[in-house]
Amino acid sequence: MPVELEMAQPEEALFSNNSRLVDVVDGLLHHGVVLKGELWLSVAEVDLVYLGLDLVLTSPDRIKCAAVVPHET
Amino acid sequence: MKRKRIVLGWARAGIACPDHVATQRVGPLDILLVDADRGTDARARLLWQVRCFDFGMDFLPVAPSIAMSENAGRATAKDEVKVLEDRLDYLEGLGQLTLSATWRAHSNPIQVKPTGREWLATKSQNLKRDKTARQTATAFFDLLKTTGFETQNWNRDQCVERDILLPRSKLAALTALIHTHATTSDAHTFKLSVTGLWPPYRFVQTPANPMGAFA
Repeated sequence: MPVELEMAQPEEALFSNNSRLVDVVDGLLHHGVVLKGELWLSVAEVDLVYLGLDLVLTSPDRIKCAAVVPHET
Repeated sequence: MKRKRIVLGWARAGIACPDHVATQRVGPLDILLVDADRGTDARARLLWQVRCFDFGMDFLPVAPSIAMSENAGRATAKDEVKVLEDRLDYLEGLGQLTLSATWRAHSNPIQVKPTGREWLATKSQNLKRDKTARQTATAFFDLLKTTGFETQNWNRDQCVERDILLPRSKLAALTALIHTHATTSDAHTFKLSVTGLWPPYRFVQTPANPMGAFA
């Protein structure tokens, strides 16, 4: 018995209600370039946390730093 | 008042764009931008990135879940130009094909007659079927490995996914190969979805250094 096969272009997958394609699209949303931001706070002239932007070319599950938070605004 | 714009990614300077996508030059790079009211959520931003890719553009995509501001995109282009250029060189002409093999659990242990022994037996059966399906799907994906392209594997509940980074020009040949294997295979433990080419979302990292240049 052959494998049940479904092929779709990206836009078709994006607008599809097929749960398999929805899962594929959802799996992509957090991949790509992310920026890592950290907030530095100073207390009694001691720098504890610093605000900056770092480019991270990786996938979320490989990010070890807890400061990386992909988000929607 | 200047309209707020969202960054879709970065590309080589001078690239042509589809309608409603703007560029901003920063040195040797262009930042790809779309009005914020056109990229209100992750799926909308992903759609714009897909349209750019389908237009023939090579670019480094921002993760769609992130609404990156124009200022952040500009700062990145200025500060990390070498890293971005290197990745753009590596990914030139390449896109991502996503293969997703899915299967159902045999039965829900909760719906089985709720004795502990029966629950355990059902759970054990599901785990065995899951393992078999994963092995069968992975073996099927491995049949395609002779193409020699960079790949990544992802595991989810009742699903195993393989992403393949390949040249746009090779898409037709690979999808024909997948179709041939699917129709001649005896494996019936999973269903296969093939989508693409996507922008290379899962391949933006440097292979030799998965954490990127700033870990």
